[in-house]
Amino acid sequence: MAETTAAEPRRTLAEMRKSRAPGWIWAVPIAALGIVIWLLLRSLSHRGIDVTVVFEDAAGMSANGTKVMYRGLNVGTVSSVALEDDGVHIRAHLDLNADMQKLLTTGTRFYLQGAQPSFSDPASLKSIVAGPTIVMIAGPGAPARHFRGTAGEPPETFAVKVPYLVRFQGAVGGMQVGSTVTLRGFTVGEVSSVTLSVDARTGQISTPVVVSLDPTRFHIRELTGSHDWVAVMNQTLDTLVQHGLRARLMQTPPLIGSPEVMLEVIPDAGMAQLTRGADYPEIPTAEGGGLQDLTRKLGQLPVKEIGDNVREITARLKALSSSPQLEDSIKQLDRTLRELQHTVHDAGPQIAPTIASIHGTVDSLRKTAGDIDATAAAAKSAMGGAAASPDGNVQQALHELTEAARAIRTLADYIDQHPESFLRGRQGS
Amino acid sequence: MQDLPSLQGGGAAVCPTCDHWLERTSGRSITAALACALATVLLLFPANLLPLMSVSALGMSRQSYISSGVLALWNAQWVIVALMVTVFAITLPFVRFTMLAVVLASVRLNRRPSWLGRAFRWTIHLDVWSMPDVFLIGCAVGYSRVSANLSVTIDWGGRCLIAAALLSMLSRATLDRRTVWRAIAPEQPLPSGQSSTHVISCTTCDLVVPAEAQDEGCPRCGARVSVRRRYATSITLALIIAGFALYLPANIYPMSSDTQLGQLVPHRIVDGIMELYRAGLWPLGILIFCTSIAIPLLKLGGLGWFLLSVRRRSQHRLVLKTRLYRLIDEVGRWSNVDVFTISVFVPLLQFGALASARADTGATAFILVVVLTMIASRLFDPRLMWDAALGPHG
Repeated sequence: MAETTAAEPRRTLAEMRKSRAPGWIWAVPIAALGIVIWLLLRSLSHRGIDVTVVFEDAAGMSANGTKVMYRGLNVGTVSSVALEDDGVHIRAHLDLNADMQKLLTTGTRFYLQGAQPSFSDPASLKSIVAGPTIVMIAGPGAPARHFRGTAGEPPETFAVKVPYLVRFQGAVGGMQVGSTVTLRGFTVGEVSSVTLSVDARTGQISTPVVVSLDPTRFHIRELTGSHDWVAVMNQTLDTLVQHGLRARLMQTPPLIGSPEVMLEVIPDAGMAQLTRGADYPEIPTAEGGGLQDLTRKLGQLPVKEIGDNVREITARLKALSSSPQLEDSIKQLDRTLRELQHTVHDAGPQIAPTIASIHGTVDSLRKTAGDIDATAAAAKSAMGGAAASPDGNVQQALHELTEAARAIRTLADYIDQHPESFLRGRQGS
Repeated sequence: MQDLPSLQGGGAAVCPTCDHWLERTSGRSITAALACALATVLLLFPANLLPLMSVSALGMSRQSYISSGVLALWNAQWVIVALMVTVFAITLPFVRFTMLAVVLASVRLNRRPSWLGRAFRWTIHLDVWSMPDVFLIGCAVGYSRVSANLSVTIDWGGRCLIAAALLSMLSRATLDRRTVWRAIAPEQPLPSGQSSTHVISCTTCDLVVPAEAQDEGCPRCGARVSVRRRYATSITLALIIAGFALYLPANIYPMSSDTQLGQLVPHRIVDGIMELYRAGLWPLGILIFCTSIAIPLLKLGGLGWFLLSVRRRSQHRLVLKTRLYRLIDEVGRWSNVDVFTISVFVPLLQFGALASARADTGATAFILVVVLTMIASRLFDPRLMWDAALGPHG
């Protein structure tokens, strides 16, 4: 038996199994289906909230370009901008992330950041190119979908407003109603009105500024008498004025900012009182302050030119109008600042606070300059640079912008490099 | 006429006349092609509905959808370019891959409705005209051009497009047309007594029909069968003359213009290549040179040569010419890369006076060159060269 088996080759039929080889290929359409379903669910769950905000001015908002920011976080975009039926207001539809739902209440406010580029807010200069951003501030209240937006940051709200009159000698025309009144850097009130009036008989020009001070912001200790805020404020100011409190006209940032009211205690201010005038009590003023004071002290030629130059530069930057002389102005500014340095010893103490605030400004100036530069460079190289010929308004404007960046940087560098000499001047005096 | 031995496993049958493959079975499978076609159709939906990529600069961000490029072209009055891009990049990919999936699914499920042959014929005709893969390369070039200076992120639409385009190429690679045709309707043996000179082969599905069926519909795919397509040479000639005429404006006029810092900068095809080269993207520069300058010129020159060959009854380099014809017919669609590039980056570069891009005169002329030469090479029948060389009815 064993021999026969060895001699005859064994033949068996191969086992047949259904091939499963092409099975794996179905993973491809299944994966595709999975992706599609996942994307569908994702887009359904991320469906944004439509919110309407009515503005006074579109100020360069555009659909799908303008962002909505909440605490520095991008939470949505503008989906459409259209004129309201009344023909006056602008209705913007915002497409906000779904997680903003609970923050949309009647107390929530929207404002346009960068709608009014200004040198007091160097970061806003970027919006000359990039357009404005809508900023959302959450507040309390019932759920809402329709809002009224403002052109700038909503003014600070004050609990109590006690009006006072201030008469400055300097130019107050550029002062914004609603701009803050500060005391040692703290906001204690706001400007209520600025008016210009001329007495035809005497030929006297007066520019009364009405400021509203908030007594609660003073956190007055050892409060005596009633809680009648007007009386309390008057009483406090009486004492403070006797100790040298004066109102001063300041520019923030120095040189190019818009005028603001600053309360300051000046030790050698001399005698003065809170005078009860016809309408409101009047807070006495001190001349100048900051650079203005310098101008007065140094008097004649060089410093006055600085002011002129700077004003010229500012005007140019603001208008973005064309003028290749900008660089000359900067050079001139540099030279005059150098001259200023030599005469600074006398004015040392008054400059110190100015320098401090300049320092703060320098960084933001430099950042702005960097932003503008990057912007212009990105734009220029976006499609591979080409030689530019000076025609076309916007092209010129951008050239101007680059120049502006350079000017701002020069200014920033200068101020940054030379504070030691200012400080030395202070030590010397 | 060629008899094919039945192929076992991987391999290819090759025509002894022109050295071109007739049947290839390696790496081909109806199931794989069906799976790829289905996945392509599925992925085309998000690719069309979601943003391909987005760019953000200066605190602004811009997104590019397939449709936004078309819309930008349409709004800028480039109607022809807008329509062509819509058809090649949106409509036909959907139509073609849906039809392919349906046909392959029917074959696999052993259902043979009467329209199956006609539907498969259309998927074959539309193969070269549906261009998700070409559009993907266009996106890649557009992405590179923009990302050289700005930060671009690829969004989900873009990812789905990449997958869809790759799968569409895979479905092309795995599809064995002859097997599908045999599955739709098996080939009949030649009726006895008829010699091979008395039959015609359908140019679409290669079904052999008696010569009496001249000008009638092919029983398998419905295409009109004829010994040779009529007026093929004159139509091809007319189209390549038009192509030559348009080739000049396509290269002289700018394809796109950019407003850079308020100044209008035109970009001809050559400028685009130089830009890519300067940006260090010379491989893409070479690619654009090939697709936008070399291929159209090759097509026009090649087809001109073939027509001349037919007319002069030339017997020289027939195999080379036939191979060149197949090359021209195959690569012609890739010339659309440059136009697709424009439609991808135009919606991205919309930063007002700082930097904004738009299509220009050259684009219309260029896409017309591409389309006309594609039609010309589709209509031309390379066998005419052999006919002419080998005398009347070889």
